[in-house]
Amino acid sequence: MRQALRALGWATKILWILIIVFAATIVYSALPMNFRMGFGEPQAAFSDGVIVMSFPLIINNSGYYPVSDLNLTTSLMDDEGNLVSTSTTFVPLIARSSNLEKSHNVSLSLNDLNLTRFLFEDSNFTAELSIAMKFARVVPLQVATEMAIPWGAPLYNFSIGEITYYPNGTGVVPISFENRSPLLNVNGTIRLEIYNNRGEPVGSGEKRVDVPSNYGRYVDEIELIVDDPAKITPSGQVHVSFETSMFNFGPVVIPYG
Amino acid sequence: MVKAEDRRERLLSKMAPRVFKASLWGFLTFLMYYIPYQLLVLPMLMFPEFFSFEIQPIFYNFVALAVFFAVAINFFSGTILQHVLGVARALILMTYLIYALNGGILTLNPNVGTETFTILVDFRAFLMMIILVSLLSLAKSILQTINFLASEKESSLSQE
Repeated sequence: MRQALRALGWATKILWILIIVFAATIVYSALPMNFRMGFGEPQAAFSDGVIVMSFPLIINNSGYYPVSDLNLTTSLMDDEGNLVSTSTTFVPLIARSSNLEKSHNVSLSLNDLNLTRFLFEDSNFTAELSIAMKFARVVPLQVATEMAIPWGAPLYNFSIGEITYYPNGTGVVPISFENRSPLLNVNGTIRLEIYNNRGEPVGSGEKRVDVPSNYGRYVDEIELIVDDPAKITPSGQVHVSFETSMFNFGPVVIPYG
Repeated sequence: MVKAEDRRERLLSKMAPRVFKASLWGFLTFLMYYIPYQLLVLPMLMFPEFFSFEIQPIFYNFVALAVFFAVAINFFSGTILQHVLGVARALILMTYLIYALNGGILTLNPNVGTETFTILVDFRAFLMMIILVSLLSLAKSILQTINFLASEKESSLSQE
């Protein structure tokens, strides 16, 4: 009995020491000075109406234990709480004393957005970021946060000025807007169709524009070709369409007069 | 008068080493928990935005319990109470750890800059290890109690 008790006593002491050392080394390994995680400079790419933002995920694990099953999920919601994008990046293992860089791609399809609002009005997206991982394969850890991402409208405050008609069957429409978007260039064609107050087409015109992101106020004029000057009325509607390399939208109906 | 003084002296000479031993073990137990605590918690306190949770009351209560049992067990060493207290210590510390560590799931809400984070640490596997070792301590204490009772019985039988 005494031998068994002595053995149990030693086993207990040794196991307690192992647990304390294990706990201390896990906490030490998880400290920000030993486990660093961050994002590099994001890059954006566009194709077929989809914005793909690529965030380089940089991880430096200089702790005593490997980090496994790392799962990074981002969900993007519009200001009404509708889910517009969700992306996941999975890293099965980050060995101890190693670095890793992996791209986390967040796709945003402009077709899924209410473009009328997002092209002409500033807004806010909400990004939910969640990172789950396992320290030393036995301690799961999850970090989640929510952040607001301001959205700048690429055609903010789009307006048309007073239409001027010339006797030679042409006319001019002043247009102005601000490209407040940090991502989208307005690079394409703006088309106008003028309708009189009876809804009959009066004339049309188009212009190629190239307004880079974060441009500020853009002011220009679009020349019109008037089909029938007799149809001109002091009031009516302007139908505006946008065809750019990143999005096509329209017609937007703007009354005049 | 002389008898009473003799009795007091005998009691004092019997109690003094026990009190000294119990105090020494109490102090050693405190050190035994305090040093790992410093190792574990001081690095955490360097990052108060992440580890702002109230770990100190949990630790102090735990150490108070551990020191109390260390003192009591050593004070009553050589009696049945020593082993009964050993069983009680294993049970109480195990229950306290499960309660204080919220069943092994810890949730923190640190603020970093303007962002609020939610950190969820699931250390149930780790808590399980602690419980298993505590169960081992419990088994040891029960065996010690049985051994003590058996040896008491043996000595009383041999005296007869």
